[in-house]
This record gives sequence, structure tokens and C-alpha cells, in this order.
Amino acid sequence: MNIIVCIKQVPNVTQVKWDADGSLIRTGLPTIINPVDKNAIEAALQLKEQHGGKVTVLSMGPSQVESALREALCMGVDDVIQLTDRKFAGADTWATSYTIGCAIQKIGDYDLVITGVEAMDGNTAQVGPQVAEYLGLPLLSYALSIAVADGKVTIDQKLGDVARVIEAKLPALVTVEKEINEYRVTPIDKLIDAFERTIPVWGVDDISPDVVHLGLKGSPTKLRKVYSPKLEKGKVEMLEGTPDEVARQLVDKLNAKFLI
Amino acid sequence: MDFTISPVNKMIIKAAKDFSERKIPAIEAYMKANNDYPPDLMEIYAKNRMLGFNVPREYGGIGTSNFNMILYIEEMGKTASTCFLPFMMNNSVAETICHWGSEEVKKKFVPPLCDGTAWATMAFTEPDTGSDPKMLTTTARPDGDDFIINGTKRFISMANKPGYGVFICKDLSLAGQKNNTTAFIIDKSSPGISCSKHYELTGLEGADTCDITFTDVRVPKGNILGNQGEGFNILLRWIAGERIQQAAGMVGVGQRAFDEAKKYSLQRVVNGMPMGYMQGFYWMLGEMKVKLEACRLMVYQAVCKQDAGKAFEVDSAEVKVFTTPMIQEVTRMAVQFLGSYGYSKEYIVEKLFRLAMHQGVVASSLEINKTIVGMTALMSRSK
Amino acid sequence: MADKADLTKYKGVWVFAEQQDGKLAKISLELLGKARDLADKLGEKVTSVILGASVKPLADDLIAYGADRVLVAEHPELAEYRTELYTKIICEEAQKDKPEILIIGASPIGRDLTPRVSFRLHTGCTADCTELDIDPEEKILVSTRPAFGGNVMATIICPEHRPQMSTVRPGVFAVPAKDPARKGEVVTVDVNIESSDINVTVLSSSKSKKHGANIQDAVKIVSVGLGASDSTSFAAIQEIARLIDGEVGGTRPCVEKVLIEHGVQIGQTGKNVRPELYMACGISGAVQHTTGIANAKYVVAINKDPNAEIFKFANVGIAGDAKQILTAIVKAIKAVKQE
Repeated sequence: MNIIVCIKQVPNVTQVKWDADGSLIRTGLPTIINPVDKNAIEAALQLKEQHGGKVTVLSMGPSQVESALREALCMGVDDVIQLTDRKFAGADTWATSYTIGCAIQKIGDYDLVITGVEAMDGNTAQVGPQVAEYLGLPLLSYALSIAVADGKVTIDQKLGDVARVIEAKLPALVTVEKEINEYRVTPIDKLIDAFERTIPVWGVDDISPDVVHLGLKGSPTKLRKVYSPKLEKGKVEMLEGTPDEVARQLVDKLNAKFLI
Repeated sequence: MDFTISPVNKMIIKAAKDFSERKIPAIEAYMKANNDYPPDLMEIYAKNRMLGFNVPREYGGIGTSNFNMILYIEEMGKTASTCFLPFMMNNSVAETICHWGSEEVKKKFVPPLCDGTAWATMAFTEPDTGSDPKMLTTTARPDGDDFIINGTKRFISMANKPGYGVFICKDLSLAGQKNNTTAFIIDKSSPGISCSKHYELTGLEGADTCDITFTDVRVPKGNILGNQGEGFNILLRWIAGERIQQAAGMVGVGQRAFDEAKKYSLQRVVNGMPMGYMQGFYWMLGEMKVKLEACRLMVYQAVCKQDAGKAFEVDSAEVKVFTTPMIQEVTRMAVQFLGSYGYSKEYIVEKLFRLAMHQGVVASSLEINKTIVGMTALMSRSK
Repeated sequence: MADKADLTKYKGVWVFAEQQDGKLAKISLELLGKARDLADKLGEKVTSVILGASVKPLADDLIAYGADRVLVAEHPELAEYRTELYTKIICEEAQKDKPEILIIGASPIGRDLTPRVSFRLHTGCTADCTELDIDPEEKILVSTRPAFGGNVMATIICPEHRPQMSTVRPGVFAVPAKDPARKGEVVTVDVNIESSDINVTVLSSSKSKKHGANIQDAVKIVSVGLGASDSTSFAAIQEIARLIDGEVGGTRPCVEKVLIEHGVQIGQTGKNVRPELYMACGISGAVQHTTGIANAKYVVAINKDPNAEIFKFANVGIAGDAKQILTAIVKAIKAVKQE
């Protein structure tokens, strides 16, 4: 079974720092593989271990994205493809999905596409479903498990507070939740081998797209402005005393407001 | 010498950090509750392909450098967990068997040390023998195609775990010869082997260190590692590597102590200012940092020599002599830095301090290493 | 793809009305209120689209909450939500009706459905918005959403494609007042489903209390941060929530630690909540979290650091060890309850 996993390299937004004026410091953040995309890779590797085949990881981004793909190789995937071209730059989710879709068509021989449910920087959760639409694949989103048998894929789906089991014929696209697995610690032998590999870079000419749909120009949405949210700050009443004393004061207050 | 951290090295560090953060807490929790290693510890290491760093792939290893291994150990050291000890042991014993063993011995004994089925042990120390091979009392008496082993080894790690150990014995078939020690690879579950309870140690919590006693234990001749009479040399070469690995772990321990002190110095506010901004404290941080950096460079230099295939035994002894008091001082300073919190088990620095104390006495004492370094310098023809 | 010249043909604000088992989702009502506001600014109509097996009875409610017109698509195959079937019907109707704006709840269903619809219609979609408005000059939709992991807000437009699509996070807009006297038009959609349209089979479906306890509707929330993520404190938090009949929520790092489910994460990359009581335990008050509690009525903060940001958002604060204080609160509540 051949699986394509789409990953995104993201700035580690959990390490964001703010300057003294309360402005976000956007530079200098380390880039990482979007964490849930590692779960996607893990899910693919586990399926490969059960069913054989090949896992190919695809990522679009600037040249630095090579390091994310190198890390995917370290985890033990068979192949990686880097989508880098100046014409891809500035893409919104529509143009990104279109570009990735073209690349997947070019790879051709696949049974399953897996993505993380969303990226930690943008949090749109759009690219997976949109790639499915471009490729005309059934979408199985929010997977807590993936099983493949008899040419079908079945997932446990976490649809908010509804738990469903859904099934589709292969090929299909699955987006995975973090809870699906614990991704592996990098095996050292694969790590060593990964650095012996050359990572193929595909540009516009390699995926034969309609160039009007690429990058910033091909993006229906436009960014108008970015700002840091302002927060209103009120006056706090601090309770003083031993833990038992403050607890009693608090409970009295809540009780008076009918909040207990 | 160039110690540039390459992209591969960086990824090794990243993998080690990930392992330390995601896997060690559960291991540590088990060790705390049971005062022993988790029974599946070697399986965990094998699954994450961390065993046999410097062992060729054909014997089940990874086939990479000792440098990459010590980078891994350094990260593990930051957790202050004793679980790096069996990790180092399987790696170093597998490498030792690869270095000295015949093809047959390598094929038989190395793969189990890399695939997680066997726990390695290396044993020399006895109740009355620290570092002198002439004092050994554990004997190997030839008997047909076998040897019969009798005696007791003291302070032996993983002695009570399944798998093979390398035991250095007085070879009675070499009686009267100058080099009369031989290294035997012995299945620790052989009939006639018994182990004491664990020693309660100052640090190294959860370690299974105990005495192992051999009573007429039969070992086939085919289990001899290297040649008869080479036992002590095998030990010396192994322990030279082990000292570097231990020091790498201690650099991690020291780094964590420094990190904790730094973190505390920014959190704790005195007179409206984080205490780290007071000269007394940032001088301490500066001193800790420099000590650590010097230790790290020395460890890297020694391991590079090992990887280059050069003699590194004396370098390794120098590493021990220098880094032991340095790291002990760095961890002590961290305790001091945190004041009463530093002496409290709520914070990790007291554990780091206790752990650092082991370097002076485990895997050869600080003093014997001073002897090695001093005597070598004295006897050397070069200035 | 809509050419620029076509844009004027697109009129009206569409709202996708989400329902489960014949019950309208609260987010859909919140959206109707906002859609009304947007449509009024444009001088246009609000159309709500509802799909299901038997959903016509819900049309009156949609009108009462602000819709001028309801498109009702009924078919037995629509009983269970399925991406491709819903996409097909919405896209077919949108291509006929040409709405200028289409807004959908950023619920699990909405976030699954919207990207596929927007891709098929070749238009832009701004996800998880917290603010929607009409640019007074250009008369276009201006959507604001958290970006960069919720650390900044981004304002996004879709100038040349229609409909302009956005998903909106539940709990951001208030449910408008219901006006049963409102009149509107109910249009039945002609639904054609071929067997080739059905690619996903729902083998089972059940309510799971465990995943994403409905934190957004919670009246009381006891919330855990890293400073109270030790087992004793967390047990006390759960106990307090049980005693006051509230829900347990928390910060992103606690989700990372798998202490709580992502469904109850509060903040810019989680949920916005509007409870009567919000107890922040061991939460420092980073902006990523506090924007999610901007609508909380009464905030209690417990934190070791008396200078923690969280106290700036709190009505009542307690500086001290979370473990001790939470344990004491459990005791105090029990004492009050037994009286």
C-alpha cells in the first residue's frame, strides 16, 4: 500500500515571546514539523508495517523545508519530495491545496493520503479537505484510528462530541488527530541513513499546474492587516490569608453570587 | 581539533532530547516505584534503535560514531535518571565484543545486545579488589572443553538481569604467567550464579548494583573474549570508553544544574529584581558555564580520538580527572544557588548533585585515573 | 471560477444551519444574528440553508432567529452528515443562487465541510473567525481571525471571488432574540443523490461525553494551567468542577501534556467561552489563553506568582500554592454544601 503524507513546516508558535511593549517578536522562532503531522507520518509508518508498501512525505515551502523532510526521513519514511518554487510563495489554503494536489497527481501511484488535522500556526484545518476535493477523494477527517482492509479504509472519527466510525473505498484522504498515536522517537539507524539521501526538489515545471492558480496570485484570500490583540484589564481583589482562610472567603463570595 | 556540531549531530541531539522528554519519565516513574530498571528497558532502547551505536550493522548495530553516542548520553544525563547506565553498558560491551571477539563470538553475542533481548554487564571489581588484576580471586579452572568459574564480583550493574556479561577472571591455566586474566562471556542465568540484594547508593537511584557469586559455573571455552591472558587489557580499553561516556552523562547533569540555576535566577525576585542580575549570582553562573564548557570540550576531544582509532586510554583518564571535580562543583553550586530549595527533593538539583558524586568512584576511581595520568606523564619521553 | 465582471451578480448572505438529530446547533443561531447584521449593512437578505433527513420543521426557527429565506434540502441519505453529499448540495445551490457571502460555524462539521465547498466554488474561505464586518466603502466582507498560533489577529478579505466565505468560532457572537412573529420564505430544494455520490459509509455514530464536553455552553468552568497540572491539584480541580456542576477546561500546554482533551482547550487556538464563573488555576495568563475568556463574567485566579498576568483579568485573585489552595477550596465547598 502506497501512502502519501503531507506535512507542513511551522514556526514553533508555542515559544513565542513578546517584547516589553507587548508586541510579538516574530523572528528567531525555531521551525519544526507541525506536531500533528508527525502523528500523520507515524500512522502511515504503522500502516506500512502492517500492509507493506511505501510511505512518501510531501511538503511545500521555502528551501528551509528540507530540514523538515530530512526529519521525516529520520523517522523512517521511504521517500520525500520537496515542493519549492518562488511561484508557490504566498499561497493561501486554496492555492496551497491546488499545488499539493498537482504534486500528488504527479506522484500518481497511491492508495491513501494522510495529513494532520491542522497546522499549529494557521489552525485553518483546510488544506487536507481541499486536497481531497482537488483529487476527488473521499475525506475521512478527525481520525483517532485508521484501519485498512479489503480495499477500504475505516476510521474512528472524533466529530466533536459525536464519535463515529466511517468507511470509504481507497484511495481516500484521512486527516488525523494528535490522539491517534504517539509518534516514534527517531530511530538512530534511520537517522544516520537519512543524511546519506538527496532530497528531490520539485518546482513548477515538475508538477505541470495551471500557473494562474499558484502562489499569492492564485490565492482568493488576501491578508489585509495583522495586529496584536488588545486586552482589557480590570481591577482584581486579592484575597489574603492561609489556604483555608482564602478558600473560605472565596467560597463565601461565590455562594453569595449563587455560583456554587 | 574541530568539534563542529554537524547536521547529523544536531539531529542526534534532537532525537535524544525527544527520547529524554517523552520516554524517560515513565522509565523513571517505574524505577522510583520499584527501585529497579523496568524489565522491558532494553526492548525500549532497541525499539528506538539506540543500541550498538559503534557496532556494524551486520551485527545488529547502528554503525555510527562514539561521538554521536556521547551526544545522546549527554541529553539523557539532563534528566538525572539512572537509566543511562544500562544504555551505556549495552553499547559499550557490544562495542568491546566487536573489538576483541572472533567472528563466531561476535555473531553469537553482539546481536542480542543490540536487539533488546540481553542486558550487558562488565565485571572486574571484587570485595577486595578495586583496580589491581593481581588481586583477583574469581578463578577460572579449565575442565575439558569448559572452564569452571568460582568467586564473587562486587558492585556489579545489571548482574541480576538476563543476558551476557563479560567477567574478568584469574585464569588458572595461565598460572605463573605475568598476564593471567581472561575475559569470559557468561550467561548470567547459568546454574551456580546467585546475586545479592541491591546496594543502596547515594545517587544512581533505582540502580540494581549488587554482588554476583559464581559457584562452579561452567562456561564453554568458546565464550572466551579475545585471547587468554588479555582480560585486563580488555577491561582497560572498555573502561576507557566507559569513562568518556560517563563524563558525557555528567556534562548533561552539569548542564541541567546550570539550566536550573539560571531559570531560578530569573524567577526569584529579590528587591524587585530577578536575583540573577545580582553580581554574586551571575558570577556564579559564569563560573558554572565555563567549567561546563571546558568539560564538554575535553569529552569531545577524547571521543574524537577514540573515533579516529587512536589510543585514547590516557585521554579518557584525563577526562575523569578534570571533569569529576568540575561537575561536582557545578552541581554543588546549583544547590547553593537555590538555597534551601536546592537542598529539597522538590527540586532536581539535589538529585543532580548526588548523581555527580558517583563519577569519582564508579567506572574507576578518580585517584586511579590520577595515577594513570601522572605515571604516564612521568614515564613519557616527550616533554 | 467567478470572473471579476460577475461579482455584482452575487447577492445576499447565506448561513449554513447545522443540525444534529433534528436539533439546531447553537452556533447556527449565533451566525443568524451576525448574518442579519451583515445583510442589513449591505441592504440584502439572509438565507439559511439546512440539510438533513427531515428538517423542514426547523425552518420556522431559522426565520424567527433572523433568516429571510430558508432553503431546505431533505433526503434520507442526508440524515448523517457526510462531507461530499453536503458539499454537492450546497455547491449546486450556491452556483444557482449566487450568494455574496456564505458563513458557516467553525464546528467540527463546519470545519470539515467548508474547505471542500470553498475549493469547489473556487473561492476563499477565512477559517475560525472571531469578527466579521462589512467594509463600508468597498462593501466587502472583512474577516478577522487569530493567526500565528493565536498570537496575533489577522484581517482577511476575499476581493475577487464569490461567495466570500468564513467560518466563525462558536461562542463569539451572541444568540439573537427569537422573534416568532418574523416572516420568511421556505424553499424546498430538489435533491438528487446518485449512488456514485455516496463514497463514505457511516458505520456507527454515538454521542461521546468524553470528547469535548461542551465547554462553550458551560455556565461554570474550572480551568487548569501548567501551575496546577500536578496530580493532586488536578484531582482537586476535577472535584471542584463536580461539586459546583461545572466543566473542566484548560490551557494549551495541559492539552500537550494530555491532561485534558483538545475539545476543552480554552484560548485562541481552542475555544472561546462565556461562563458565569471562570476559575483559572495555575494559569499565568498568557494572551493566547486570556482572549478565550474575554467574555467570562466572573473570573477567579489562583497562581503562585502574585505578579502573574492572569490577575489583571480576574475579579478575585489568590496568590499562593495551587495544590494547597485548591485542596482547601474543595474542603470549603463541601462544608458549605453540607450546611
